[in-house]
Amino acid sequence: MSSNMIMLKSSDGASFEIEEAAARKSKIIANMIEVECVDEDKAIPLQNVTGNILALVIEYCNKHIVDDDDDVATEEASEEEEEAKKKKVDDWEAEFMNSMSLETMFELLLAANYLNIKSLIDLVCQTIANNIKDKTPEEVRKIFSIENDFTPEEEEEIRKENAWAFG
Amino acid sequence: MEKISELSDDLLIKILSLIPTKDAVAMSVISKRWMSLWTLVPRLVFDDYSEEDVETNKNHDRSLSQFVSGTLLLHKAVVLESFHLKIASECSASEIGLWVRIVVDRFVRDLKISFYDHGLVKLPSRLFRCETIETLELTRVTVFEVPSRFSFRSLKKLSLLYVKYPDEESFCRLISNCPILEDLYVETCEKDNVVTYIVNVASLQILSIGDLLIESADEVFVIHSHSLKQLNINDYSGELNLIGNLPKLVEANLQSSSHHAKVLESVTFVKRLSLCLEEEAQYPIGAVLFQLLRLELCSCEDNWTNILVSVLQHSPKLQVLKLYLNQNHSDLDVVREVCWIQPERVPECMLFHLKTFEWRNYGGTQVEKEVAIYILKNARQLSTASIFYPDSVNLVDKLKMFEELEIATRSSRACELTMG
Repeated sequence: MSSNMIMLKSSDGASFEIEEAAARKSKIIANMIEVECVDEDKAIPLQNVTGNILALVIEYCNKHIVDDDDDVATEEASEEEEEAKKKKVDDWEAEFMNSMSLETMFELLLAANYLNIKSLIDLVCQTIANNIKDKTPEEVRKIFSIENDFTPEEEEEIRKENAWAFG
Repeated sequence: MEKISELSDDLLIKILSLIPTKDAVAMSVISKRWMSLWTLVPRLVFDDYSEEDVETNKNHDRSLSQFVSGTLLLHKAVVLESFHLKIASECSASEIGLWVRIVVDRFVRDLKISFYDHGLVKLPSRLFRCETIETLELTRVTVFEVPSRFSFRSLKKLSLLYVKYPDEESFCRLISNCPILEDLYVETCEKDNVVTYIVNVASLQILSIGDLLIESADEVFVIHSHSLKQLNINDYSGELNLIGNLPKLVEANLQSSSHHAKVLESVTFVKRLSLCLEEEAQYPIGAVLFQLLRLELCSCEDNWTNILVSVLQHSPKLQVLKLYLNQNHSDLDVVREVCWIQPERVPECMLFHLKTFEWRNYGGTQVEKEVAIYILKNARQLSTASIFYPDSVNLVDKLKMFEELEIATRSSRACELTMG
């Protein structure tokens, strides 16, 4: 595996070193590498991502490096290992998301979206969805601190119009 | 918390598409921005009941029909990836047909229709010409008609669970007009109008069959699909007729399938085998599993030790052995009459290849102990060995059972024994 290192710089000026293979999880960075606009000595500036969020993104990417040039799993025992590895990653993901506040989750989702890391977008969206499943709109509004910009009359109106769905 | 307002509509829609459609619609009262977001979700999921309801015979009185119709009328996404419908309340066959027509026009890729209790569906002719559908699952559906000519050009995965067909010919037509079908799952049911299920699909890679609900022995599956990589037979008690060998078969799972041990003759190329065979099952004489690398064997029937010895003796390259007890299969109160007669010579795979040995739900009976000790003592290449106990066993007993094995094999074991 190539162990080329890449430097990333967060919006608040923190620098991070990351393996190229891990950085390639981001389509944006992968594209930059393809068109060779990555200067080995210079850090890639990421204006929309703060240091603490970038650290999480990097932690995620490091866990999900695909071992491209590992020996092809021909033997059954290595397939067992693959399975065990996958379970480990799943457990890690659950723990990773579990330890996060909602606020951080949203920031992470924004960063994943900006950097275009599909699997991380999917993971965060699913976690947020699990958080709002079985909740009433009032609860969701409260959890997410969403401002209710309806007047009470308007809200009543919408509820009436939605009667088809809940009758 | 301001960050949620920074999320794009696309991301919010993605989140909404991951919750049941009813909840997504309800979220329209959150704020003006959220008001119409649900109309753009690419997945519509209507769950009128859960599988637990089926088991507990729960009654339903909600009106699904009005909700689905309303949603489809107001829904605006051009492309609808998934449409899942679980119906427990009254919905007419033609109404459901109409919904299917609408979602087919929205380029649906993944369609599931399931009934709480068998229900009739008039599948529209447009569905049978649908070029985008990749996954189709029908559960407890009574199919009204299957056209004589059609093609599911993109269909890769088809599940027909407890489906009733107009006639035998219709079943055959349904699965034969899918030129790239890779994965087929059929659960048969009573009065489904089919006795001989002919599976002749050249592209098929995974076939799963079962008849959990009826156990009628007069059914026959005739399988011609020579590209099969995986064959799963779950609680199927009918006849099985494999035409020719299955040279590409890598994995076979045979679960409590009474007289299907002879299937092993046709699957001698498999690399992975999972077995839970009925008591009368005999290992077919002369069948050698040259390629077998992994064996999973359930110990719920009294003859499991014989099957174990036979497979060990006939699979020279076996690397992974997993024993387990499927507690759903066995009546724990019955006194078991299992005996262990160890092979005269240590099987070749144990001398040269067996690396991983795992035992789940190890109960510590005399026979289990003898088998475990035999394997731990004789497998010269073991690199991992783990024993897992049933949850019901308390820690003291676990440690006691573990120690018995540990001490008995300490001097001759090739690796550490771990307790799971």
